[in-house]
Amino acid sequence: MEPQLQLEDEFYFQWHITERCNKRCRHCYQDSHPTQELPLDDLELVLRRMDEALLKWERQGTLSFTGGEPFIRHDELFALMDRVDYLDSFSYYDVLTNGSLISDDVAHALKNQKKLRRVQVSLEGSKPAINDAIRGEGSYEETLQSIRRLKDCGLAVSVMTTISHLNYKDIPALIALLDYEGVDTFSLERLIPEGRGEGLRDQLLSPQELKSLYERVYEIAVNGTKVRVLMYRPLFTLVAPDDPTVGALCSAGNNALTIMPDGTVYPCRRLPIPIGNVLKDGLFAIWYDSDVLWKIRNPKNLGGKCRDCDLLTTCRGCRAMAYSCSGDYMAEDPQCWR
Amino acid sequence: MLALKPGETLALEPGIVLHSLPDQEWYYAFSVITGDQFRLNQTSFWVLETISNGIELIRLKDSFLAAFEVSAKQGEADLRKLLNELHKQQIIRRQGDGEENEL
Repeated sequence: MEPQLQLEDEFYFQWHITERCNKRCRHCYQDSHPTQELPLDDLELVLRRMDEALLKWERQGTLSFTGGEPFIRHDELFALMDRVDYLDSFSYYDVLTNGSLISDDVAHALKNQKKLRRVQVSLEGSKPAINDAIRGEGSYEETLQSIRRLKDCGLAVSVMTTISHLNYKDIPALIALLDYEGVDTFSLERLIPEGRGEGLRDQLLSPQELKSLYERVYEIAVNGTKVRVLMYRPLFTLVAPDDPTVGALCSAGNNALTIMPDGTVYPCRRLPIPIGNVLKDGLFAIWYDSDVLWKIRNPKNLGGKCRDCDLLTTCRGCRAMAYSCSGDYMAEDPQCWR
Repeated sequence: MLALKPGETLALEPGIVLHSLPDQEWYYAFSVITGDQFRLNQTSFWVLETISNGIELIRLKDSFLAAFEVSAKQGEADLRKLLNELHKQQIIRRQGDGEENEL
């Protein structure tokens, strides 16, 4: 049984320890200019700041280590995981990776991490042609091998897919494949056209296409797969408003922060508006006094149809999608079908 | 107890910031230095906002009485009690003072 937390008890950090990557995926929210990286001493200081904040807030921390490709900083990554393993303030952590650097040795080493909940790899379709057109030649087979290697070590594996016109019709087949492979959880993220993904702006789903996809995924999740499909994302609540396992408020400004390789903090990785730096400003000043976060927290600031929506308590749309499509992070979510 | 002279001015302690979401009845003071957070009622928040703008005690008292429509005696007692509590919680201080002092 995986550890579970009530949302209000949790605070989530998404920590990009590097922006270096050995892949050039077409949809990536990074551009091709990696930012400066902190040395291990400073990374440990960042971790201490997180620990201090969690203890003060009396929240249980959850953390995703990611990149870029986090295993490019193998030694630093394992050093940080070792630290977190002994911090009471954290319940668990995940590693979000493209899977390409997970050798047998790495998989076995991961097995020894005490608080590692899941390893998340990315796969864009059930067939090489779909996945490799987005992630590069040979990456489909590479990812499947990584999934099997991790499962063989008894690790929980999650797969994440970025949905666009390039793959959305294949999602049911992908879930079937993941079921067959024994993958534990599956999540979908909507393509946000920023970074390298800016070039795929014309591949965004229309609201009706997204509605059809979410309805189909919900149907499969409820009736047709052993894979646990994670549907706590904005707009999912429109599919099943009375199902508490579906949909969630965006965590930006609510219970999450993203930390970049140089310590810069964003409300969310997909909403790349700098709101401070962990080392220069500290987390308290950022969390308590960021104008951006306070603007997001107040639903009165929402624009368009989000503002008067009767689902305001369970969905306020994706602020990153609004920002990417309009330049205004409080604008309505352009993929909402209501 | 708070032993202020009428002409004295109060200030927020360094690092204290104020934020509210009135529609949700959220009124908070935060310390960006210690990480402490203080949930407030609307009256306390009003007093702190007024202090943050810089105001002499005598004018704070007059404004308080006008804003909350209470008798002078009751209002003064309420305000003094509130200021003492805010001082005890290290949310406010005397303007220009760095040393420990009772309000």
